[in-house]
Amino acid sequence: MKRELTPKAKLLTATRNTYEASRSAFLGGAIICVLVLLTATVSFYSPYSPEAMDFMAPLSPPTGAHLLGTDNFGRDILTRVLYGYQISLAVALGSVGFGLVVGVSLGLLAGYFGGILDNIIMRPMDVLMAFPAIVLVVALTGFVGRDVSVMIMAVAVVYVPIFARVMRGSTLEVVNELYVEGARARGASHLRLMLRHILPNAIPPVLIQASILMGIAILLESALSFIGLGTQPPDPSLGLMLSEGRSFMQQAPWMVMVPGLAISLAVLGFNLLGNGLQELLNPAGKGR
Amino acid sequence: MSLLSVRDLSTEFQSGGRWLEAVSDVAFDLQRGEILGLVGESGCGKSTIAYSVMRLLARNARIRSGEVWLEDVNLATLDEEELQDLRGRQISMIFQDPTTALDSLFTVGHQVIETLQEHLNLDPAGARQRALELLRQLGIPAAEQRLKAYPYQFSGGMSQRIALAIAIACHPQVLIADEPTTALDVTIQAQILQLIRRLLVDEQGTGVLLITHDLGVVAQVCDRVAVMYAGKIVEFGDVHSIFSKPLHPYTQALLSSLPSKGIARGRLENIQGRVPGLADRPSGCRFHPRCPQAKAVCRERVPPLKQVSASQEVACVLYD
Amino acid sequence: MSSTTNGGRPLLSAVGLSKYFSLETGLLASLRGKAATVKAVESVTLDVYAGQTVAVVGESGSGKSTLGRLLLRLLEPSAGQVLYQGADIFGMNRARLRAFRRQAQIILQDPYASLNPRMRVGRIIREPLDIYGEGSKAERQKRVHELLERVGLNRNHERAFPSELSGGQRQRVGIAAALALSPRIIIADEPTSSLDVSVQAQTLNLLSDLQRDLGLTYVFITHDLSVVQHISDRVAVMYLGKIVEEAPTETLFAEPKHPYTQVLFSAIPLPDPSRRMNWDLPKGEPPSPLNPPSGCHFHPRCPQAMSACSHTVPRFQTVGRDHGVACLLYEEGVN
Repeated sequence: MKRELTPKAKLLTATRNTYEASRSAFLGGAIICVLVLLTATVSFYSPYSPEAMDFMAPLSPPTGAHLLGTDNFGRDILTRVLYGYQISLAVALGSVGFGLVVGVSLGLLAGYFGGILDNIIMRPMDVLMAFPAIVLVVALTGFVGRDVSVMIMAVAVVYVPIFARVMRGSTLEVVNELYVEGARARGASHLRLMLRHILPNAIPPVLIQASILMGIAILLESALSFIGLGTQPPDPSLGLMLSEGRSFMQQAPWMVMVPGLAISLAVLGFNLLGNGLQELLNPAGKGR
Repeated sequence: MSLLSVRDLSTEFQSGGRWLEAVSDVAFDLQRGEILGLVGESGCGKSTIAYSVMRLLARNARIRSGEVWLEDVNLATLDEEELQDLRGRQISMIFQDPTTALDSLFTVGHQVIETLQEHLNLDPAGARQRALELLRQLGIPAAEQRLKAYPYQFSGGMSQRIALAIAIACHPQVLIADEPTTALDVTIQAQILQLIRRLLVDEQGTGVLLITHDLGVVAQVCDRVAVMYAGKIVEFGDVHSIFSKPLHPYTQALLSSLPSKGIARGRLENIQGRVPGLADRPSGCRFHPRCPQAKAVCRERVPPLKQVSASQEVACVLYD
Repeated sequence: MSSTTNGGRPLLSAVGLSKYFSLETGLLASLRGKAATVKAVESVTLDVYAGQTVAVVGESGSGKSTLGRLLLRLLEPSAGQVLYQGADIFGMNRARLRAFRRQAQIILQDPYASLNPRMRVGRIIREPLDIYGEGSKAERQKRVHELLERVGLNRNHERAFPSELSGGQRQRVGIAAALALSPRIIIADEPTSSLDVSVQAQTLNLLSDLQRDLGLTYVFITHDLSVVQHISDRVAVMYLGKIVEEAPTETLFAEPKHPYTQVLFSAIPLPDPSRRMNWDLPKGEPPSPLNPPSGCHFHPRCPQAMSACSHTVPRFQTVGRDHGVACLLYEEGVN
């Protein structure tokens, strides 16, 4: 209960943690924003096209002309990384967006109504969850085709059950809150209860999950492209660049280092954001 | 000599880079074999006093000044190691939520016996014997089986008994009880209060500092009481005197806001406004903005706690 | 003080109302062939007359909150009826249930948990009006302002989140939301039990002002007998799912008949050091509702238990004017 010292102490400690958490969330958010801005506008400012080959300067180390060097075809690596981010971010946003919409709806319905509907929704989710993510994605892309939209759908299929499960768990907690019962007593419909009362209070853990899954989506896209199942040459993709750079690791280490670091940077950004959100949105900081 | 003597204690909390005083210059003595009540509404600082005495304050809180004498040891300046040795053996605490004191991963017996072994240097068999004795004393039926049970298998009342058993296992001289019965049903509350009164205080001579918001509990079991408002003791004295002749306007208002004061239905007296937060405590007498008898001087002058009769002290300019 | 004999039919009444919860569901329980059931509420009959306040008193596990929820059909019963103006609310279709919900509202116990933390106060109070499509947007806004003022808050509170308010203020928001649709009856589930005494007094005063001005009927669910004495016309005492005694407040406080009621009274800590309790306390703790004692549920703790109590279920019967009790001590031919 809320008497005296303990809650007060918690509240005050929460402020301090909140400060640290918001710093982490802010840093992560900033990294992501900068990346999104740079990649979205790359065609306006970049002097190079991602496919333009400079046969005079293959495997050039970082110079004034090529800030992060060139690859074996003389293509500017910085430009290719920025274009590669477009695909990475498209896959991340697309798959997480789709996964969120479908997963959250399914989880909300399953948690709210429970009973048979819960089983009908969640058992197939459990089956999907049982497949290792990478195997599922490899199977789907191999089966349907190698295209960005296929990749998005493939990753989304992996994500739907994760979001559904988190949302269901969170809904099960919130559905028993007194204010939900109060709204029911005032005559609120199922739809109103779900959308107005449960969704806003149950969504925070899902958003944290979403942020972390964004990072994983980037890794998945890179991994798929790396093994040749994702983006196809000559399109720039971070995973593909890594794979291509492997053969030149001795002569041109920047060919693997740059895309490798680029992947890490994006994943780091999303993870920082996720961790920060987790601290900010957890019940202690919810401001009881 | 008093058992526990708190001298000019001030405790503060850090909030947004500022230190805010939760308890201001509080002083009282606890005698052997008495129950001293600390009563007040949420936010008055009564629990902070308890945590200060036990030196169990959160990281963002500290004792700013004052002394806490347990016989001839000043707890306020003792180092953590020596303190740990005293806690449990000389001075113990129970909480509103008894599960705070119990570890859900171990059986109750394990926890009681461990405490006994640690503090009393008993061998396992001896400690077990003593644990059974304790549980029986505390009115726990089928003590033998209960020792093998886990905390989740106990009701709130039963858990509080166990917590009490652990707290008094080593015959501490002082027990601090922070809202020990607030979460319990009235019949169970009465049983626990009876245990504290009879077993601990009357038989063993323990001094109990009972922190509560319930004036009924104070009237029933306490010998003396300190009424707190916004971090200060406003009235202090013998429980009979204070309930029959409350002097401070806050005590008066608090007592008359109780619904059980008469059978007649009708409006309850109440205090206008609300308890000020830590950051906006008023100057002078902290109760003056809500006081029906406030004068101009109350805004400036901080009234000290003054002896007004053999059994009563009050901090109010009306009695200057 | 009005009483049951004031003619007319009750506004709300429970008839033989029961609610059993089965604890273990699923494969394992059905394999073992027994699902443990808790009889949270067992054959409760209770009449609430318009303008009255009826208190339902009991300790934890007595089923009082479950009863409150049944009275509003927030739970479906296992048996029995709840009649609102003579119509069984469990037989109502959606439209009629909606109409009933406008007239019967609830105030919940914990003002910290009963308000949606992500809604502003204004929206919380306006929500019932939105649900029932009451008036235009401007009219709803006006009504919100009226309600805020009515419960002693002001327009500045409209934009606040619940977390920015004190416990007492939050409870006022809960009361305003319950009042929004001008209900006739309000079930108040421990509305003051988590508040400090001075705030409790303010809240109780507000509730009685509202009753006087709006002609409200209250069912007051509480464990606090001192509050009961102050606010109610009639009291029903519950123990392990059953009403063991029911009487007008004055009668009950003057001469409690059931040994449990007597024990309950003796355990209230009176704020008067010159009248200390004699510590004549009931033995043990309330048994688990999962496995209630046979006969009279109270017999293992009862100071006056007789041998018959362990196997005979006492009938609820009248012992005085409007005074009913379920105890073998008052049944003829048993002792």
